[in-house]
Amino acid sequence: MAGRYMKYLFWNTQKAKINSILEDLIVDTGSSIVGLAEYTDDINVLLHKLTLKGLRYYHINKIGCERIDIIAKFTPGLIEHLNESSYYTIKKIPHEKLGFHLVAFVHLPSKKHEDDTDYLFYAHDLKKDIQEAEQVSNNSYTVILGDFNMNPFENGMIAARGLHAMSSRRIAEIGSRRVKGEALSMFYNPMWNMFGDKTEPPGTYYYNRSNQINYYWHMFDQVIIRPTLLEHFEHDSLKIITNVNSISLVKKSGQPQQSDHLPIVFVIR
Amino acid sequence: MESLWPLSFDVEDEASPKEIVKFQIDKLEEITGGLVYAELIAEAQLSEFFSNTNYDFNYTMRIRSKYLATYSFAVFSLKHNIPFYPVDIVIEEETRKELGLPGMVEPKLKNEDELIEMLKKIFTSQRINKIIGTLIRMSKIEL
Repeated sequence: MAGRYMKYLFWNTQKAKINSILEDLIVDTGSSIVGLAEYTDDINVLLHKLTLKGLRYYHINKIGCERIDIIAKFTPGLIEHLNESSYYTIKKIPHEKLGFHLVAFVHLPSKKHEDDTDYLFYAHDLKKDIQEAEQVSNNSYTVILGDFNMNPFENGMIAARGLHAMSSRRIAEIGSRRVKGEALSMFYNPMWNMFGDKTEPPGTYYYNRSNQINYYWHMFDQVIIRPTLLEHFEHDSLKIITNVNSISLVKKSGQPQQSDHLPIVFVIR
Repeated sequence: MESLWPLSFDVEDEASPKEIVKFQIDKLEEITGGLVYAELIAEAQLSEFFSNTNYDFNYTMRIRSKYLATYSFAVFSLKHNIPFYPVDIVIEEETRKELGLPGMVEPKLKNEDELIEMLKKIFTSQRINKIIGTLIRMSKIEL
């Protein structure tokens, strides 16, 4: 059972057979909740390896969202299934200090076939389902984590009718903003702090393209948090992981290896 | 002043898309003994942000489970104006892939026969059957 704080891990493993690294990553970070996208290794083998180390994790039932695997220190019976789609799944999960909180795991489609408008629709649908889940659960301790396949500055993340995830905690704490007469709720996006090279790496996903605009590094893997949860979010705990014990998740160039994405971890007290 | 209205109105015998789906929803509940059911939810119009997608009628069919009370999965949305047809149907991604429907193009169903044909394909798809099967299995654990 998780302690007074909970650690969360998300990784898009790019269909790699990654159990040995994942096992060390979970043990090393002490994560209570693990979301995995493009996971194709054997989850039962992973759970067994963790059990041999004295750590009991459970694979949460997949219903409609096949793209994401979730393992947690909570038995499946303690986790309530809320709204989901092919691209996201929302769960109500215990938290020792908060009672319960809502955790949404996301893996939106890749940019190969989608454009900005598509992501706006996805963001709108996700936000709508989040709000419905919050209403049904009477709980707005909500965190969304995963591979959004969007950068924090893209329209789907920022738009009031999208995820409305703000770079400034102070702004997010306003809670909502009126647009055309409708109050539209906000999230806080701490991933804005991870940009640039003051600390490495400058993103979670690397892609070098030949177009005029080339960011090289993207921040597709993100966590966004409801303002009500902010006092419990440990800002300094947010990390993009580049090594697990002696295993490097990046090449000498700093670009991801093992997977084309890097994992993120954070703590909610 | 005289009434400017006709003495009576022509009432179409044709079932509305909503009525057609509603009938199938009732059948689902019957077949699963109430363990799994569905709802047809009227959606609010999207804002001017998506104004080119506004319709007079917009419904989403969501699958739910009696013993997983908070769970829901949106299978498709139906959108139409008056008259009922054509109907735009936006099907959730994995089902759409299984049915071999192209990318982001929403099928436009021209009449009742096409709507019924499409619904049959969706309801008999492996994807939807798997979801319903999983919900039935999980519901039996809860019992």
